[in-house]
Amino acid sequence: MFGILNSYFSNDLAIDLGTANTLIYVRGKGIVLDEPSVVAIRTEGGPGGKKTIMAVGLEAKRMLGRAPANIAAIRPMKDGVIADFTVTEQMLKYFIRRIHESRMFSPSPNIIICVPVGSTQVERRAIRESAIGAGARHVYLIEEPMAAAIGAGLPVAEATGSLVVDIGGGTTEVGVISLGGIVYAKSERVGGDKFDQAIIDYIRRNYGMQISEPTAELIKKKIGSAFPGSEVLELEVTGRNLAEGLPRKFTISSNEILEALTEPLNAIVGAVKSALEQTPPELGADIAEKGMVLTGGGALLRDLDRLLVEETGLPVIVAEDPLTCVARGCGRALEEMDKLGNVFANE
Amino acid sequence: MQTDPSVIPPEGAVSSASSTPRLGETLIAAREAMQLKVEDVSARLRLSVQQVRALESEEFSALPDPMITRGFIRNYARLLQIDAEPLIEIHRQLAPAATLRPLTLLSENIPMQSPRRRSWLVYAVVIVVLLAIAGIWHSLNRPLAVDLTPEAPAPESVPLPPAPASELPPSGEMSALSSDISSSEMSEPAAAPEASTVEPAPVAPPASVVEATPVAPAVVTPAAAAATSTMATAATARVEFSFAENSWVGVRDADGNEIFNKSKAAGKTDFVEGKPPFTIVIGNASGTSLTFNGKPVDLAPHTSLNVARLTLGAP
Repeated sequence: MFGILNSYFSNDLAIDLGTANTLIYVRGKGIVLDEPSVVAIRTEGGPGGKKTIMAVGLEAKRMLGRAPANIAAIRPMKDGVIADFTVTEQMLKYFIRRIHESRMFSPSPNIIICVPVGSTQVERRAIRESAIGAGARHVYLIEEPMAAAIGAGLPVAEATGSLVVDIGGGTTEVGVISLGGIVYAKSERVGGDKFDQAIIDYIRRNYGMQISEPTAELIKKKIGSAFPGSEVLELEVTGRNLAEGLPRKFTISSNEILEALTEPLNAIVGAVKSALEQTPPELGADIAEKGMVLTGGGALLRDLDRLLVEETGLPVIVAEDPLTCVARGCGRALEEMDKLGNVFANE
Repeated sequence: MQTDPSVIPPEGAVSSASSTPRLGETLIAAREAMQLKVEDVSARLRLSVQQVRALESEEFSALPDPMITRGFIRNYARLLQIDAEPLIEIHRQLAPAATLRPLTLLSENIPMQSPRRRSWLVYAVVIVVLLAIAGIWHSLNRPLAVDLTPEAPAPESVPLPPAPASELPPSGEMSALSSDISSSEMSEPAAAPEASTVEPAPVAPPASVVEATPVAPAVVTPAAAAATSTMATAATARVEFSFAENSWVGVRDADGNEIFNKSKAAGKTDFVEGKPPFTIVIGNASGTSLTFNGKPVDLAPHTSLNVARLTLGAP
């Protein structure tokens, strides 16, 4: 009876609080929200004036780089952890209220929220406190490689090793999982954001043009690649010429983007190799047979799997629907919360 | 239906025999059209030759999990430049049972572990409750003894202490010790016997009483004063924190109440006052320094993995 009451008054949630996107999974319903982790804040009456939240999510993301002086479009998460505590709390509160909008009472759900393996105790506590501040009754933390592996459908509970590489917006998480636990995990602060930044730097250095983050993201999605392919793609983009100070159009090719991305890609390859070095041989044999699984938005970068195949000599597969793997994994953990004991992380 | 139930075929053979074997045929046809050998595919995809052959002959039992196998099919189809989706759909039909297999995390371990954990918890709770009862009983018992002794047996007990007191004074150290013990045991009754000695004065020899009373209070008063002063400082104590880095701190007082639990930014200071002993947990010990009643405390001996756990002001 209490279960029914409980489920009426609050829907338990699983949240993938990512650097780039926040996804929320509601128990029994699936993923109900997928929005960019961006908040637009308006300051009224000059600096130091009253601050109000203007927009959250997709609407706020459209304002990135386009807002006037009194509006700041903020990404409160950086490198997978909270950079602005207050704004993160407000963003979570907004998202949770949006899911529960038809309810009479303010919700107080149980929340499972994922954290990078490399996050410090202080960072984990900040995430937990922001969820409690947003109205959570209990907060459970789950480490991202574990959530990604569950979401990808890997046999995490069995006595077989699985290697999962989750390339998110802020971090790349590499985890070796067996028997429901993480055997080895490494978190590298490289992800989609670093790719974008590398493209911005490359274009400024080689073209003398300044482009915005959204443009860099567009270039990455359209023609970005991680391995030299047979076909060369080109894209025309607009930036500000640094010498003239005027907007100019120019064309950039996929080979140049490949060159721009070398450094962050090497960091990811390095993290995977170091995980393989640290893996016990028995699990290594399992991984050699099954290969590694790529999840997260970074897995959609063209030919990234090919790069990892060539660098590691192991089969590499991209998970089905890699963008939602972590959220689905958190959701699955939420659904089977009573059965899972040790997948949740401690502070 | 198609297979004879008396013959027990291997697992993979059932699925491949029961439906159209288009998946393997498509792969073989596309591979041969590109003039690739099984070994070439194996080298490009980093799959073993057996795994490639198993894919082509649809022996899914020889391949890893269905989700991984679908990944292999997708990679293979991309290498052969054919659309992977129809092949994935065929695989879903060929291995439906495997696809729907529930991913049970931790099977029989849970019932084994949870009762044991609970029994530990029960033991812990029982011990705590017993200790609490013992503590309450003890604290209730002490004032009772103090109240009773001066009322009823006072006239009989009074003549006894003065006698050794009057005998002992020559050996100075011993008398100081004995009076110390008596004063620390009961500091208040020191005044009470004085009052009671007035009443039985005609019964007991007056000289010994007169001798005893000036000696005992003279020694008792400094000790009693010291005791009261320590009591005063013990009532409240102050812990001050200063944070060189982001950190969090939790403090529980003598009653186990959480009186302080905050995350603090670098460069901030804060303090807490309450009843010691304090149980303190500090999240980022290297970036935090603290003073207890104005005295700095070294966190290093209490720190492990950059988390300091310590108790301050224990008696």
